[in-house]
Amino acid sequence: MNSAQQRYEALVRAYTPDLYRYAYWLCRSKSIAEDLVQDTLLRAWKNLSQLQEANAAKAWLLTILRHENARRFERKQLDYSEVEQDSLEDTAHASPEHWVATDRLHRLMLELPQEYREPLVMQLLLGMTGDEIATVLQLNLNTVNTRLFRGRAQLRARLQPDHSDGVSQHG
Amino acid sequence: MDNLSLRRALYEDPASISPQQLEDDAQLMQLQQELLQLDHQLKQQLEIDVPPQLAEQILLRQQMLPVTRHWWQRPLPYATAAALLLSVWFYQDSAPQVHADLGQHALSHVYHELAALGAISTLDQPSLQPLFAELGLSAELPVPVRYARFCDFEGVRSLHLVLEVDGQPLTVFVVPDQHDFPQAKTNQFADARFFGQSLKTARHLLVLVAQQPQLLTKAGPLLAKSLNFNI
Repeated sequence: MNSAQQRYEALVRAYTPDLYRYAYWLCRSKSIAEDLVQDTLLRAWKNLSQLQEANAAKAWLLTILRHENARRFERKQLDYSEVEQDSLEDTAHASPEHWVATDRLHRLMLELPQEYREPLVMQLLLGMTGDEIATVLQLNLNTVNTRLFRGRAQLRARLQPDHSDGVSQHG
Repeated sequence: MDNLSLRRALYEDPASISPQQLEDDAQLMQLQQELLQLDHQLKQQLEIDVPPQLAEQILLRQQMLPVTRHWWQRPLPYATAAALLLSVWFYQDSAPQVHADLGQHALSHVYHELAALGAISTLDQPSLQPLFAELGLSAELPVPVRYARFCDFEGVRSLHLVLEVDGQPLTVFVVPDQHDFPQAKTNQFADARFFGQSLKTARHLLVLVAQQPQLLTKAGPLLAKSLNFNI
């Protein structure tokens, strides 16, 4: 086994769980999250030479994953002229997983706007600092801190609807 | 740090403030405890279960990818290819048109209708028979059919099916061989997500696409047994 293969295998084994969990909280679907992780790590293999330092691996992989997620919405749609729309497709049972999430906090987290949910996931799940989050999200540190503040404030307010501690949502 | 700054810092990261900084303010200490408790509960929610063998599946898929090398690492094949390309260019006007990449078209088609892979109802055999009959086929498929629809496959009216094999979706395009599809040197194709295979029968082309390569191996013989071509 060559060194690139060994390096790649170590990368896959070390980061697949975190990437999968991050992807789930990004796209809110377990099946799409699985596809996103596969696409991310295969793209990482093709561009492995770009990764110079092991310390940068997590941020590098998260950046790829966010690009792959964006590509989901940009994938070229070829012009398929349906000859005859005699479809037998079942669409009645399509139900995003967040609709059936039973745990209240889990559901509240899924309902949190993505701009607040994403930095919270990076901080709490991946243990990233504000600066690291800012690098991956391409934001300045103040914006990241504001989003963390608002994310927690919204969650806390929804968990305790009667609670009032004077926290402004416009911090 | 004043009260407002501390409060804001606690919401940004409750673990970043030491209890000593808050010892003069019971309300802030209480807020820190509540936010730390919230973070603890959130961490438990965030750590969802990871599908077993996901890393192994990714490694398997990566090892099945063709090795890619830069063009300067293999100049001779590229020079040969360039010469061949020129030859083709000179003679293409007189040559019959053939399909550039059947596999690429099949993969694009699957991506175009990704929702079909999520269909969960089972279509009954009587409703499927008229569709097969239009293509000169009869079939008794021993696996559930989740999706069936006529589509345009490279200009040929074809049947797009999604079968369930071993609990996984398998896409099958049944393409009448009106245009004499060329049998490629290799009838297998893949991208980062899907594996595919084309099978040429006497009167049809079957194009199979799935996320698990073992499904293709299993489905080929299964379809050959199940699809009967009416004369």
